[in-house]
Amino acid sequence: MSKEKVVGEIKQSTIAEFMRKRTQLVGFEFGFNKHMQYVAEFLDNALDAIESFYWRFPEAYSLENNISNDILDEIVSKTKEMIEKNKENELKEFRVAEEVIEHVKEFIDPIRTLLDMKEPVVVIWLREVETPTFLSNAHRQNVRVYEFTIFDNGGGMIPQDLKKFGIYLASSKSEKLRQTRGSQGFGAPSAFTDAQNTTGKPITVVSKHYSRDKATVASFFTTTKNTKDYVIHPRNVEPPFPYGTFVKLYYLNIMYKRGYADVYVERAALLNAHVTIVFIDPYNEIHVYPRRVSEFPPEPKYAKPHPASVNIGEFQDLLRDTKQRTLLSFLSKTFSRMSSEKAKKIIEEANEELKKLGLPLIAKNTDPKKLTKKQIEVLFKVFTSQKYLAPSKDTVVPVGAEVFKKVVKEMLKPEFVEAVTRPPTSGKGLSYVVEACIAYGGEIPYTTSSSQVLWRFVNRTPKLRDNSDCAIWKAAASVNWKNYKLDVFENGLPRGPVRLFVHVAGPFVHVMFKGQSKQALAEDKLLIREIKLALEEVARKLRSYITGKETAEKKAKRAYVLSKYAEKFAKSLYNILKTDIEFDGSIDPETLLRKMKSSIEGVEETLEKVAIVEASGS
Amino acid sequence: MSTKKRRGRTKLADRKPVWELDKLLRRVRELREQLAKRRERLGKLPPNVMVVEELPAEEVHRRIHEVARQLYMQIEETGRPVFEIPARTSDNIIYDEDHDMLLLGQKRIRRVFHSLASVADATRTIRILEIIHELIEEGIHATKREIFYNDVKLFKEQRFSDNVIEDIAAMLGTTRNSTHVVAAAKGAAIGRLVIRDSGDVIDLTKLGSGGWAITPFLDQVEILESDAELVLVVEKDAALIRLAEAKYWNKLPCIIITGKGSADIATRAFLRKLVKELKIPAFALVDSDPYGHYIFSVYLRGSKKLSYESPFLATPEIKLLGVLSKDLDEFKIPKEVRLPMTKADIERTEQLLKEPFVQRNKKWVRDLELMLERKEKAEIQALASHGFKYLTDQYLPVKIETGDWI
Repeated sequence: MSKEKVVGEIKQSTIAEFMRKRTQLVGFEFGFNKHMQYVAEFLDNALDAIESFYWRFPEAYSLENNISNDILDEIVSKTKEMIEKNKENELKEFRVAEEVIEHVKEFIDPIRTLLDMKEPVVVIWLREVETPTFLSNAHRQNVRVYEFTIFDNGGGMIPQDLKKFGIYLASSKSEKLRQTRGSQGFGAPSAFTDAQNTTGKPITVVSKHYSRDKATVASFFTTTKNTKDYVIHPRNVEPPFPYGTFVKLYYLNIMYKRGYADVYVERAALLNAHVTIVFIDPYNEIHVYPRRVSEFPPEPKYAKPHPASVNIGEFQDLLRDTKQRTLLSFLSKTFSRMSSEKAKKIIEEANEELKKLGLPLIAKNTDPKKLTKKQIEVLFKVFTSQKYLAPSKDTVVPVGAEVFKKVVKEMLKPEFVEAVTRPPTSGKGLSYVVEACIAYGGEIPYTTSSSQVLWRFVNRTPKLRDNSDCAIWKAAASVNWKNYKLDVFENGLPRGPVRLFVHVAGPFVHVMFKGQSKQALAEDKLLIREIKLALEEVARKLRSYITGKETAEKKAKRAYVLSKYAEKFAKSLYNILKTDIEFDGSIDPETLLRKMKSSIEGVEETLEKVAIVEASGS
Repeated sequence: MSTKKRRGRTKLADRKPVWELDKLLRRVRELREQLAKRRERLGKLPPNVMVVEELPAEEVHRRIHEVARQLYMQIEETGRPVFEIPARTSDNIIYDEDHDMLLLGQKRIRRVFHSLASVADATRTIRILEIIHELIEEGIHATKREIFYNDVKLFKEQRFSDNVIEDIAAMLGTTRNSTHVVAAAKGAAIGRLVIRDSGDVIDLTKLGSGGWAITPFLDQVEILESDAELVLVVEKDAALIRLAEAKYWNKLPCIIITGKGSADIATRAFLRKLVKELKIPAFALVDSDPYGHYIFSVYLRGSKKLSYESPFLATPEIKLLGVLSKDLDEFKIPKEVRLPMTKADIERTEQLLKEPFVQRNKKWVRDLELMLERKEKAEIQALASHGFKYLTDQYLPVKIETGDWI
């Protein structure tokens, strides 16, 4: 055998290289869902941008004003004009920054009034554009080019951040545990990758940070080396808006169909009613979801990991990355529900074990980074076998039953709505809260498919995929809806003019998901029980309402039937009595009828009307 | 009185008919006495009963107004009218055969307006009360069907309006006829009788050969005078024309009526009226078959479903004169004109034999059993096998003279 130097075969690739070829891992594959994925990713980012801006600077937005119908009409008509102007559906190729700015001004013109009112707003426009000739093969297979444009008036990005925007794993969301929408830095970069992979067109971004005077414009491709290749280099220009971010890109996908992206926006608007969302779909339909509440949700507090939720891998990571110098401070500062006494106790017990095993002991002031593998193992074992208080609940921010009800009522106009927020709970060291809402009747149409009935939300984000895999679904299907006067589908969900809303919120939800796609919550006994209890609580109220209605209906029907017969009865009796000498014509048929009707329950309204007529002497 | 079977006695076929009225009608007059005596045995009426009887129009009108006033009072006080209707279940109807009276007990059905279950019926009740009131005020009559058509929307089906008509008759304590609700009439009458019918005086001996069509408006019929000593009820028109042609009432002082195949209400009511007022016996002349016996039973005590009306249309004194099964031999009816009984015939005969009112009459039982044994039947026209005048000249006089009836 030759003794040539063998070059190893395992190359260390970058994340970017890896992900570029696997965008489907985060939902970017051809299919109806891709449209929804784009919308979801960027809408989530936009909402995050607006919220974090507000929590930093509450003066950024003014939520006291009413968004009148006139304003909404203005938005719709101006948007229609904009659509009309861009009828030719050309794919825009920006060559210079000025062109981009012109376009942005036109794009945000319909919502100028809202921007001036300092209303938080997001606008998304998804439309089909002309297929360039080099992609015409795809066209024949029912695949089209879509232009995705989004604007939000969140805090915007400073130029340095704009540089990192679209770089894999560059995320503004820290790794600290907080109730967030849950992106980890895969979304935007994967979107960009997919966009340019499928169309070869660059991404255009304009962003103005609230603290800067100028806006930054750029148009670029991202590379496998996780860098950017610019078509329009970042330039600082006069801002077309006070603060916010504008993104435009193109992607290839099969033809748009209703039921995915539009549903996502509708549902996201429900639980994020502190922001106005405008969505223009490829059918040129303009969906406006105006702000319906006058308060932002409170900023969720950071949560330290609870000992019960930590596994050995995370424990090792935490030890490796900690800034604490001593073992004692590591233990007591890193985890929630850990006091220094407890930390001391853990170290002592660990030492007992180590002694037995003849291993070197650890001390309170040992450097955490200097622990041996075996010491870590023993420490972990003692650490997890302790009893801890349940995690604190103030890291959990629910929507709130009143807000839930208000928004569902305004959006769906049901005849009955009820919501409940259960007290926060924790299992396995993860605290979360379950909220449920039920809406019935009114303008809610009967459903033909059960997937329209249950709206799932995790941390205010709608989850549309992997429906039946989710713990929420399973909990909802396990409720005995017939008991609450509802028919059911075969799969156990209720059937009729009814909608269920379930929201699970908490700082740990990212570990509660089932798979990588983070669309379904894993089946957990406690979680399912919580959801079921919440649903049953609102279902009970619905049942009371329906029963009351049935009774009222029966009453009304009876009153109607008896009334109709009473007219005939009184007339016949009168015809006999009018010839009766004893009464000598003193009987009045209307009085007879009125007296009979007055003893029919539920005909009081009729009686009132008659009394008014009599009193007026007519 | 029954014929005694003596060994070697003369068959009725060979007996010579007697036309001297005293001899001919001796048995008939005896029967008449018997019936009169029975009526005199008046016992006391049971307590707490309401007598149902034919009433003159003024009385019916008065009672209607009484009911209406009561309803008015109820509405004035509570707004909730209620009808109290006598129940016509078997435990509340008593047909007093001795007094020949229909009695209703105390049981009442409350029909309230203010209930989904009875609002429709209550409204139908007042509506029909209104209609009957109108009939009586105007002095006109209507059939059940016409009343139904008066307000089809409200009545929905004729059986509903029919039931309410009966309810009202019971509530007013009278017969349906008295409420001016009549049934169509099919029958005819001829013979020694003078009546006033809706103002016209009619002599039933001077109506040619067809006779007088029995009117459904029985309350319009007044019996003025009659010297008949019996009523002959013939099943079929065929017998009537035979008797009419012979002007039989000149030979035998009688009135002849027929239902022309059925025993319809008007004919039954008319027969009952005749018998009650003239106090003369009635004799049925039917085919010698189960259907004929059935027709007889209807005249005798009403149709099988003892509806409220039926006892009112019964003539409990009527006797079955012929054609009996035993008559077939007795009068030497040839085999060729006798027909075999069908399965349905046999079933009907067996049904009749099960009836208690048949079982009480031994002679009747014997005749039916004979019919079953022979499995033969014959129509009354079969008598023509001995000649067209056999019925009038031999059969009837001999039967009547010998008192050969059941």
